[in-house]
Amino acid sequence: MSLYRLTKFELKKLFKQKPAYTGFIVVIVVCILYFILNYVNRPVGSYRGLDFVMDTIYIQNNALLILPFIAILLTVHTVCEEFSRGTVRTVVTKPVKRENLIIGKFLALLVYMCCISYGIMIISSLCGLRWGYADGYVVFLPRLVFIYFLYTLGTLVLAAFTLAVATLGTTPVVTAFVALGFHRVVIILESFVQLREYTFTYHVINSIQFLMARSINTRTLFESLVAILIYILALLLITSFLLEKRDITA
Amino acid sequence: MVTYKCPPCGYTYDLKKGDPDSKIEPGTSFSDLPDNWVCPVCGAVKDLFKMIVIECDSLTKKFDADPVLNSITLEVEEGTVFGILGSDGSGKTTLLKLLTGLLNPTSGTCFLLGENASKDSAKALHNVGCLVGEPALYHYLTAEENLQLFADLMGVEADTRESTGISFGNVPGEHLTYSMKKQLGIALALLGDPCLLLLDEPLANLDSNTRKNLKNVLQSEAEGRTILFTTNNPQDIEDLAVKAAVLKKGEITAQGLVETLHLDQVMEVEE
Repeated sequence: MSLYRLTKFELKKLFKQKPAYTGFIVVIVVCILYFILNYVNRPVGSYRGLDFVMDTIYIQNNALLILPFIAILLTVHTVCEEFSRGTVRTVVTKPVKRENLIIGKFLALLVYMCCISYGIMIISSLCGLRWGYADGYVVFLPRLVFIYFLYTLGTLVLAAFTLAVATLGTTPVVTAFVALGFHRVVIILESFVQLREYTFTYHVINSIQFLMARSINTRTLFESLVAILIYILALLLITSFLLEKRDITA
Repeated sequence: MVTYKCPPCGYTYDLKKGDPDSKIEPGTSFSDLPDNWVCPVCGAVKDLFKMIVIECDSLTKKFDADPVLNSITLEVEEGTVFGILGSDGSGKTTLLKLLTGLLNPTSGTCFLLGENASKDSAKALHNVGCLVGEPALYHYLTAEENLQLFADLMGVEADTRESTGISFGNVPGEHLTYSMKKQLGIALALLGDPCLLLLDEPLANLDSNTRKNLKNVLQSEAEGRTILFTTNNPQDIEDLAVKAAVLKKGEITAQGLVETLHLDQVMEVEE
């Protein structure tokens, strides 16, 4: 059974669930509130060009506080429910490779998180254009697209970790707490100079800072990207191994 | 590696050994044997040989230290409807979960269509339809959407709703009754026209109409297919199966043709 069909299967399921839209609504409401509270009353002209770009990203920074929660909670909801309701049994009794099942779920979450991230980007861009802060924005747009993708990849590390925990058969509450705890621990580790290079959040921030700079250090950017991808691949491998070895008693 | 067996004498063609008497070299697959090849033991012609679609050898499953299934050895030939009779807790569902790779055996092996189900379940289930345990469906989708979702996943047409008598396509999953879920579960198992069906208590806890309907479905679908089903009702075995095994406390106490199974053994299980 092809990975394409499995990813389509997971996407159909994801977008048929009401909680998936809750994530969209929360992010859109936060974005709009941010603009209403911080931008509407600013005098036009006092702030333009790259400042606008910085603020667009700053909105993403604010939304980034929500995105990991959305990634974790949605993964918990989709995976733990599969185990508790026994639908995972219906899926794995079809000729489906367990590793493809995990990758399919991950790709579906990637598409979902990209939709949210780029949704924020479009909203913030439209708001920015409406209030006339768009100088230099078009030139910066390709970099901005990549910056949003890196943010999304960062949240996907958390989604992959949540997948691994959920595969152990833990309850939704325990899975969510463990995943959120992991996120906090990584942020704490990032504050230690000796350890930060081993955290994915450092590499996300690092690569974004390189993209923000006038001249990009391609090598360091590439290294950071590889570090994030290694995190994701390792977690997906662990998840596949766990699903292969565990008894599905649901 | 698919095994072929001579039903009259029980001789099994071994691919690794070939047939030295007939100068068949080791490694020759059964389909490559000449048409005039005959069984070296009883002389039966090649066409009489049957493929072994389910093969369990000393299959044992323990949860912690408690054995749930103990040394199950079972063979099901192609085109056979095979029933497993056992009371609640006898290990019927565990056996099906082992066959479908949902559980890993503590010891022993099980092969479906020549593929090791516990090593590579995706390969073993390639041409197999399953209904294991309680039918589990996506509650936020309708019956029709559930069927279509799995048909799309398998890349086949969702054309099993008529043959299984599903007339509740628009009912949301959360409002489906147990009977409806069971019917839908069997329709899902039939997707892609598999040559082997593994059904866990397909007729249990159903109203008389649905039960009658599903019995008819199973009887019509049995043609040209191998079916292995479990039940706790001896009548289901007599109505549907050609061969059966009696499972009691995780062990097979009797197996063979349905008419040769002693009724007292069956009744004992029923009690």
